[in-house]
Amino acid sequence: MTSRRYRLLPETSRTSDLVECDEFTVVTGDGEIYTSFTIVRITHEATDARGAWTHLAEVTRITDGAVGKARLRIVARVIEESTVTMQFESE
Amino acid sequence: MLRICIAGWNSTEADAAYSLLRDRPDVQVPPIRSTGAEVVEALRATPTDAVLFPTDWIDVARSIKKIVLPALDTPPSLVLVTHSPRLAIRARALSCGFDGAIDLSTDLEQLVMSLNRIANASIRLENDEDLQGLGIIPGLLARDLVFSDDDDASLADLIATGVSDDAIARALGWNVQVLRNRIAELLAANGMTYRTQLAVAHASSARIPDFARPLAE
Repeated sequence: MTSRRYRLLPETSRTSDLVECDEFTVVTGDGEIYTSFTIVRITHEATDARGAWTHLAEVTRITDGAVGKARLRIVARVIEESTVTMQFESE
Repeated sequence: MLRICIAGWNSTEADAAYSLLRDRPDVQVPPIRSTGAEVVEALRATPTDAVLFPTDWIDVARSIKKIVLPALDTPPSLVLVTHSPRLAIRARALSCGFDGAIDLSTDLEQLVMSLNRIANASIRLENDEDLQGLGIIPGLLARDLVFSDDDDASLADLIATGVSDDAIARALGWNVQVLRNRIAELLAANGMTYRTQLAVAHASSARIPDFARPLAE
């Protein structure tokens, strides 16, 4: 058994305390497609998570406002890697 | 009367197009223009409905589309004439800003009808069924990129050399997050979907000075 991997951050925690910029871009499609997101709130801190993700965040896609959940690898307040799972597409 | 101009020195495709069209009473066609500068001079001097280019003149046409046509009151349609209208050639023509493509093996009446329809914009290469869904941006290689500042231009320069995001981030002293955000903004500002579109558009954006300079009076 491992220790708990995710810690819920207090709602008063500020995104700017954790990352330099609240916008980030996910690169998909064999490095061809760049999709930008804004962090609404970083909800969880992860330890020893599979894939070395350090945080979970609620995000919105900049182009259309669709809502998703992001796994982030934050190192020195920079998002080095990210994956996003969309939850609600814009209508 | 359809007014056309045929470009293409030492081209069997240009020769074939001229031979087919020169005796048509409904087509006005002067002798073949043998250099890009001659084409430009003709377009500036004479109202023209369509310019016909052979396959190996695609890049000359692209430069004319980018540099010369915007300054004309009524820009002509650009038409590719070819014996071999393969999909790859039509795709390249579309990305270079061509309005239509003509198969020289087509029946002459059909060929003239197609030329007229391209010239009056009732058929367009971008509506070619085979090219649908490929994600080609019409005229991608015949336009200037939009940059918000010098950093954008530097970024495009490096992308056009074919290097990776990580290498560009190191070269510019940016973190990878900033770099990716800038690339996303640059793609969006230029109506592009893919990083490769940015790379090829910028890598092929060289100007031809003789076209950019006004002709001597």
